[in-house]
Amino acid sequence: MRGTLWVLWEFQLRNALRSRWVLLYGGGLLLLTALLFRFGGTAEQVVVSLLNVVLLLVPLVALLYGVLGISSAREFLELMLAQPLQRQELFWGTFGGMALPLLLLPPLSIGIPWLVFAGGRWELLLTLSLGSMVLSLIGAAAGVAFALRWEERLYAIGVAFGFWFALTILYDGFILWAGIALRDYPIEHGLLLALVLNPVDLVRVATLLQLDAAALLGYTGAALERFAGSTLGILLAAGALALWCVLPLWLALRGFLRKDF
Amino acid sequence: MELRFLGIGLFLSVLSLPGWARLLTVGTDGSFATLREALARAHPGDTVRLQPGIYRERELEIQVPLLLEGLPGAVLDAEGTGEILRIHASGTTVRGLILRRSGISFLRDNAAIRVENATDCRIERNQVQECFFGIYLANAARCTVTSNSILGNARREATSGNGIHLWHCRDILIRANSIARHRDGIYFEFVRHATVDSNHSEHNLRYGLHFMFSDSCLYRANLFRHNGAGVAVMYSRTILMEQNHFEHNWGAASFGLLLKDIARSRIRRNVFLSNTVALYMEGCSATLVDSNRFLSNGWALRLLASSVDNTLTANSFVANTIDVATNSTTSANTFRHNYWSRYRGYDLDRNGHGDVPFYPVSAFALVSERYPAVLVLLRSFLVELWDLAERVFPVLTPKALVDPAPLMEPPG
Repeated sequence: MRGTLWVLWEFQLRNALRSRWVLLYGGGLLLLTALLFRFGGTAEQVVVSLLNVVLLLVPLVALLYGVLGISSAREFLELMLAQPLQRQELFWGTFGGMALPLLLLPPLSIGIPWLVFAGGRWELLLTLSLGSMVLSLIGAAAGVAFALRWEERLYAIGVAFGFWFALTILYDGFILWAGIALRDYPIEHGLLLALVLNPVDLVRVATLLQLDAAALLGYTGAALERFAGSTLGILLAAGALALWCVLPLWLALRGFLRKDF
Repeated sequence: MELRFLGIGLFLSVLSLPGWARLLTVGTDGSFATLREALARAHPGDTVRLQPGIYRERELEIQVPLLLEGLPGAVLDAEGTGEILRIHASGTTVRGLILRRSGISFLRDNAAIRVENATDCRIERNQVQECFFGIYLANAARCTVTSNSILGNARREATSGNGIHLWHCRDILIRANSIARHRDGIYFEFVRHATVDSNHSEHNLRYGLHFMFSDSCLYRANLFRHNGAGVAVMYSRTILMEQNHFEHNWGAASFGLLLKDIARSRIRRNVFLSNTVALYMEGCSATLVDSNRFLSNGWALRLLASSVDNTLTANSFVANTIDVATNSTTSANTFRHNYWSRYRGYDLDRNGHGDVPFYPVSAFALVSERYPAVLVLLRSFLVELWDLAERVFPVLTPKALVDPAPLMEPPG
């Protein structure tokens, strides 16, 4: 049982490490972080500059990686399905091997320059690392789910782009609209809830709170700080993030189990 | 006969002259056991010296000009009720005392040292510990308050007083004091021609420095740090604030320096570091803000529409989240030759001034000033994209608020 999973993981990992994309992604992030430290200065400033890169690039790369990974592994999967293997095992083996380098690359590429140049503010690195890992996981699982749902590769990529666009830009546009249109109403708590429900916003706000920027966010910031410090807030945020990790994974797994290859 | 009377008269008047000042010592091996007795017996010009020890006394009155000094270790302790020392005599000096625990009261401002209706007093090198109010000057003139250390233990605004409190005073010098953990560090109301120089005011619940209706005062080289709401300056004219440091006043309602209804004043060569709002100007007019440094603040400058005819020049704005915010699309203030770390222009003729004007109010700063709820989108990709787009094709950015020739390098 365990043997097969390991074999699958190892195969996928080897595949991933041979891929130029992975090298480019990890190396690019590493170079960027190192350059920011070299020219930018303090850990806080680097985090501010890195924040949008992480919030944008990481989910996008993960989504595309998920979509392309499944569609290019099609022959391999068909071959494997002909073997006496459980589908569940095959899914976890394939997905695990695919997602693992994706999950580990951002923390490593940011962490190594951090270790060399910053040597402090570890809680910022931790927030950024955890955030990028969660976003990677969500992106990869959603990408796999899309690729399994829509056979046409271009179509699946289109859906993935749409999903990414909705999470990173449309959603914030909606918040902007709500903040202006509903200005006469006490919308602070509604906005808080809206922020918690989007993982990209959640990671951004969590990082801003670490940067002492909560005071800049006005009344909502004050509410946010109290909320983030409260047990309910932590539970709600953790719950929302967990749901965001589980839901795409479950969709991908279900798609995989039901798919007639 | 007459000569003899004259002689006696002369003798008596010589006795009461300052030149015949006596030394009265208070303590276990002094001539008085309590300070109260010594003060009751003192003549003008005497020196009352407190030997080391703890004197549990309160409501002490100085009615004649004298020098009251404490040897190291001399402590006056009011044990949490009432006031400690009241000075009614002009020309009194109090130095070297340790004053402890004046009483918290909702009816009276119990101070460690109160100077009332007196002139030419000197309060020097005292330590005020855990008092309700520290040094309180009411209706005083030509006094100096120097090198005192005033440390409170304020927890709530309602049950705490101010470190140095001035009410209706003239020509006061406040120099080199350090004040911490009171309600307001230094508080002025109706004061003229005061100089506040080289003081440290930090960790106060409300303001590091708070003054109202106090014209023609000078504030130089003070440090205001970690105060609940920063420094607030209101309803005053012709003040000069220079070389002060406003640092780490961080919180939802904190300001480095809040100016409200200030006219014909000058704010120069100050440093604003890590404040939520570094400089807030409301209803200010004809004020020159020059050569200040704004570093790593949330908002470097919040300029409300009610401020007119102010000039901002030779300031440097470096690494602030928002450089300038305003609630108006027009501007009646002048920005010229400031350094902005956000500026991306060029200087072809190499005269040190950029050839492209700089618009310091970003679209997001303008919108978030009107609709504060959207501030939660700070540093989101949408907002960065929007600000970038505004920079290329300005739609919302106020055209009137412009630095036509920003500096290429920070001044100084």
